[in-house]
This record gives sequence, C-alpha cells and structure tokens, in this order.
Amino acid sequence: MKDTDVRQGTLALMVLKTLDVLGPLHGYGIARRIEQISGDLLTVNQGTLYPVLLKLEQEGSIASDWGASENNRRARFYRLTRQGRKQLQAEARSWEHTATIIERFFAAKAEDLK
Amino acid sequence: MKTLRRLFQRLTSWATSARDEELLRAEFEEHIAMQTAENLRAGLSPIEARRQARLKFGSVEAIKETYRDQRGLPFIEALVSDTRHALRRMRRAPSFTAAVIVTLALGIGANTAIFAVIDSILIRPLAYPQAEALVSVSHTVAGLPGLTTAPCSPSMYFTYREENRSFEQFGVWSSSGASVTGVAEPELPRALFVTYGVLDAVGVKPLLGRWFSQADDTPGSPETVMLTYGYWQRRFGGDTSIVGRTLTIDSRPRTVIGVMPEAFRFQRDPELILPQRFERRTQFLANFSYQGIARLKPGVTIEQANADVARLLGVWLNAWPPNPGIPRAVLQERSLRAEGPAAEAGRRRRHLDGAVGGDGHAGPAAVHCLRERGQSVARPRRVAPAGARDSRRTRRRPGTDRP
Repeated sequence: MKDTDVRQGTLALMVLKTLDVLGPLHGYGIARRIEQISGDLLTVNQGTLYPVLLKLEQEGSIASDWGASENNRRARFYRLTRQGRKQLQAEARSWEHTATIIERFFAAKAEDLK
Repeated sequence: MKTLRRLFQRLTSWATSARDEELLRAEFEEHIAMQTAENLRAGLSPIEARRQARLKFGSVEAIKETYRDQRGLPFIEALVSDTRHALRRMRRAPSFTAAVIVTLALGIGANTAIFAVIDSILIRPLAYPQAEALVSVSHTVAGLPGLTTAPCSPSMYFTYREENRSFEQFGVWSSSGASVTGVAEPELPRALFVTYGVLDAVGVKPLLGRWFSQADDTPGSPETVMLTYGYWQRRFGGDTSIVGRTLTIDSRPRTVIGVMPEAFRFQRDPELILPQRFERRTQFLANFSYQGIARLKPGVTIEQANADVARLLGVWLNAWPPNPGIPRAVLQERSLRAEGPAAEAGRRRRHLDGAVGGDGHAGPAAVHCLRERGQSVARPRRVAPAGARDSRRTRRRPGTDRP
C-alpha cells in the first residue's frame, strides 16, 4: 500500500481539509502535509495538485496571495475562503455518507439478510 | 453557477496569460527549492537533493500544459496557433498556396455557376404563366434498339392539334440557325422555328406587335419573323419602329411582326423566332424531328393527357400515309399486337399504352408526357469535407483530478 497515488476525486477534498486545519499554505506545503497526514501512504502527484489548486481557485473555494516562503523567497500561499469552508462541510458530509454505505456493504453477511 | 464563474475566470486569464506564465514558473521553482531544502535536511548531497526534488516534481512542462488547458480557453488558443502555423507554411510555399487558392476559387465558382443553372432550370418555376400546365409531348419507344424517345412528326402535329381533347394549345418547334443579310454585317443568329400554338402555349405576350397566327403557318402567305429582346436591342438598338420592317432571312424577305419581352426564355436562347410551315399534302407518318409542347386544359392531369395521346396515336396511324417502304398494314398489325405488353410496360414505367409500330423489330411503344423542364439535368456535387488535418499538433491532455 506504500506510495499509492491519490484516488480520483479525493484530492480536492484533502486540499480543502488541509487548508482548513493548517491555514494558508503554499503548494509544496499542501503536498507535504497530505503525505504526512496519510502516514506517507500517499504520494501527491504535482501534475494533478496544481491543476486542482487552479480549479478550486477558479471556483472560488480557495484564494491565493504571494508572500515570503521559509527560504525567504516569493511563494504563493493558498487559503480557504468562506465558500470553500461551506464546500468542505458539504463534501465531508457526502463523503461520510458514502463511506457509511460502503462500510455496511462490506459488513453485510448472508445471514443478516435472511 | 460554478461553471459560469470558471468560464469567466478563464476568459479573463486568457488576456493576462503571459504574466501568469511567469508566476507559475516562480511557483514551481519555489516548490522544487523547498523540496531540495527538505532533502538536504534529510542528509543528501546538494546535487542529489536537487535531482531528487526535480524527479519528485515530475515534468514541469507537462504540468504547465495541463495548467494552461484549464486556465485559458484551449480550443481558441489551439485555433489561433493552428491558423498561425498554417499561414506560416503557406508563406513558405507561395506557388503551392497559389495553386490551392486557384483550385478552391475555381471549385467554388463552378459550384456557384452550376447551382445557378440548376436553380433556374430545376428549382425555380418556369418564368411562364401557369407553368405547371406546360408539358412537353414526346413518345417513349420501348424495344427499339438505339431509339428510346421519339418527338413529334409533322403529321402528328396536324392530328394532335385537330383531334386532341386535353390540350388548350399545342404546337411543335425546332431550333437551328438562319442567315440574316441586308442589315449591316450578314450573320447567322440562333433561330427557333415554331408552329402556331407554341407561343400561345408558353403564354408570354409579345412586347411589341403580335404573336404568330394560323395564317403565318400557312404556306403561300407572306413570310413573317419575331425578334427576341436581346437581338432586338443588340441589332436594332431597341428601335420601336422595327415592327412592319422587312428583313432578309435565308435570302427571303420577312416582315417583323413582333418583339418578345426581356423575360422570355426558351431552350438554346433563340434570337429569331420563325413560323414553322408544313405542307399538309406531302406528310407521311414518320419524321420525328420536332419537339412537342402543349398547355393542358384546366383540370387535366398528366395521366389523362397520356391517355389522350395514346388514343391520338391510334387516330394518327390511320389518318396518314406510311413512309415509302413501310406498309401501313404492318404498322397497324404490330401496333395491335403490341397493345397488351405495352400496357403492362406502361404501368411499370408510368407510361401509357399507346402503341406505335416502328420498323421490323418494332416492339411496344409507350407514350408519355414530360413536364417541360428544360433539357440539362445535372446535380450539384457536395464538396467533401477536409479529412485529416496534418498541421494539428498532438496535444497532451492528461487526466486531471476532479473532485
């Protein structure tokens, strides 16, 4: 299970949650945090991360500002907007809902249905 | 709402793309720098740290490509770049470009020209009053090798004209040239020979003077001629005193009795219209050299007209002397025998069962009337759409992660 790529559709949710928990971050920080939180089980592909960031920004869920990085260079910091917070809540609910249903299916045994 | 917002963002970012490109590069550089720093902390050598960071980041260009696709309007950008590319190539090969442009111009021109012809012949109604009642009268000959349609003979003209029940007007015509001398240079204008009835069937009134009357057809009466508008304008400058003047046509004096209006059209675009005279006493059955034209009586259908012509064929067969060498008895016998199969063939081909005996191989001959629709039938060709576009570069379109 090591170094699994992030599943389709879940990366945006992870980005939103990371920004929600940690506040403004640059692209590198987001990627590292997602990998850390997953216990290094996930590898974030930059080729998908930056397009997702762009899409979220275009949709207004996140905004970005230029600031100084740890190395004291120019970096782009992404932060969650109010709309992004709402979207995160909605998607988290929907994800939990889906997860519950899938869980029930896995737990189902033949005798339960008789 | 989200989609609209994204579209708007794309539109605005399209305009600022050069600056965005710079920012994007800076952002990626910073990402790699941070990764390198992290690797250094993990104890890698500076060179290795940077190498690993680049490896992990992946292809910067590929990411930029994806990014660009999402940010701007890739379709329009691709169109612009394709056009630019095509123009550059065209500039490099001017002779090829010229050949292509000339070919296209000719193709488009030819299509337009053909369409104009089709439009005037097939699509637009004839420029004659109640054009739907105009029919051409000709005969389909079944079973005769080399002869599939027979127009009308002079003897048919007399019989049809006098005995028909379905035509309001009937006449026959033919085209040829006629020499005009005595007015400036001698010339050979296109001439249309018509019997009395043709212009009446067409129904276009003369601009000046009068139509032909039955007297103009009668041999021995003074010879007459009508002019069409174009010829009148070109040759006589539109002189209205032309009616009554005498022209020498085919070495014989003819009196101009009228001028047709500008809108008058006929096959082969005639310049002169001359009366067709037949000597009744000298006609035989066959001599199918004349085109028949008729105007149907109000309410008469094509089918009724076909039946009428079939009946007239029987009358005609008995009314005229056969051509020398073809006994009438043979013609009649064959025509009687042919009746059954002809009727059947007629139904199949929407022709009717008039049977004409022809020569020794004479099979059944069916009769039909065709809508007078001009003679050339062509179909406009569709231009095939361009196939492969070789100038199109392959564009990467990696799958993007969509929430």
